[in-house]
Amino acid sequence: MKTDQQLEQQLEQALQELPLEIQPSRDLWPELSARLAVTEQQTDQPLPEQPKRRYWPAIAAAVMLGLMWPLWQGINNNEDMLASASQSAEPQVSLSAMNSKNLSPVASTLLTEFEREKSRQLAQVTVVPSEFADFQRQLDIWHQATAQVAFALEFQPDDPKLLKQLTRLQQQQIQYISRLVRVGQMS
Amino acid sequence: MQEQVNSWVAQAQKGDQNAFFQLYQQFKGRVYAVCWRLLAEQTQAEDACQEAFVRAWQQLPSFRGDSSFSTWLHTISSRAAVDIWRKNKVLRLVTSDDVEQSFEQVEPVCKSIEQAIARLPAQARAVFVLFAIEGYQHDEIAELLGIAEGSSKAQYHRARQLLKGWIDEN
Repeated sequence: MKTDQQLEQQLEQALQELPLEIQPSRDLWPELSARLAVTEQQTDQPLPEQPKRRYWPAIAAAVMLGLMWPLWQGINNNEDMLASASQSAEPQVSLSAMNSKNLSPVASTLLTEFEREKSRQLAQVTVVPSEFADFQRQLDIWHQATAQVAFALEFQPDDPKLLKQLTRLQQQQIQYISRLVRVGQMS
Repeated sequence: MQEQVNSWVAQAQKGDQNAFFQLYQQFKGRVYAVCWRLLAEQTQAEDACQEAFVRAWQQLPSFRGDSSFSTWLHTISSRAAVDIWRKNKVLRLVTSDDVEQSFEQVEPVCKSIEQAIARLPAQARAVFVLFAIEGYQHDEIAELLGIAEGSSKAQYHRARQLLKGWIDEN
């Protein structure tokens, strides 16, 4: 049993030994660079006002994304829900937006960099642990959500919220796949 | 190195993204460290780290060099991480897997105390990190986190007790 003074000393010593730096486990620059480009555009060139009608597809896509999101979360937490979701939630949205020429250079870069990283990570999947048995289904749902955001970006190419939503979805997928790889390597 | 940093800052202030990339490379570890310690979750720490650099980029033209760039960036980083912490504090749940995953690259000798800090309750952890590691005062922490100064002191005391208990057990 250590005295309180000894514990205080040990805690202080441990704190002093903490490193000043912790390196992120992946390269954050591609996404950051894209966000900086958007920031520049916003600062230097205010967006021209667009006709109101052009907002509707973006709003519709956002609403669809909002409807999909709880479904995805339910699937993530409940195997039973996965079975029913597979019957009722077949992909309904065109994924053509992912390759659209209407996307801004920033969004295109984000999608291209992401696909490259995703392919790189998926190539490392050698074993699929049982808890990730439905990983392809999960990725499909993420892919659909990403496509909807990309679709919205066609109409709002510089919307920072949409771009952030896109990067968030991409980050979640990369995290998920890297966890799949790691668990697979350990099993 | 300081001269080199000053040169990159001057170029970045003129909109040179390559110079800003050099600053990012130089300081990303320091920025990520404060974000990670406050948020204890990889995705949120990455978000906060990016947000810190975006804010730095936006605010660079107003940086006058009254403090060092490192100090200036560090303040921005703390605030970016705290903003995310405030948005998510009710929803946050740190799993062991999150913590393990985030310390793969940390020296083993420091890993244990880092893990113990990461597993502190969210508010106690934020107060502890800001006071004990980042050097903020309780009145500043209270303002940052939107809590009473007395709560900040109480949470700090609680965090220390929990950490000492953890050291005693290990």
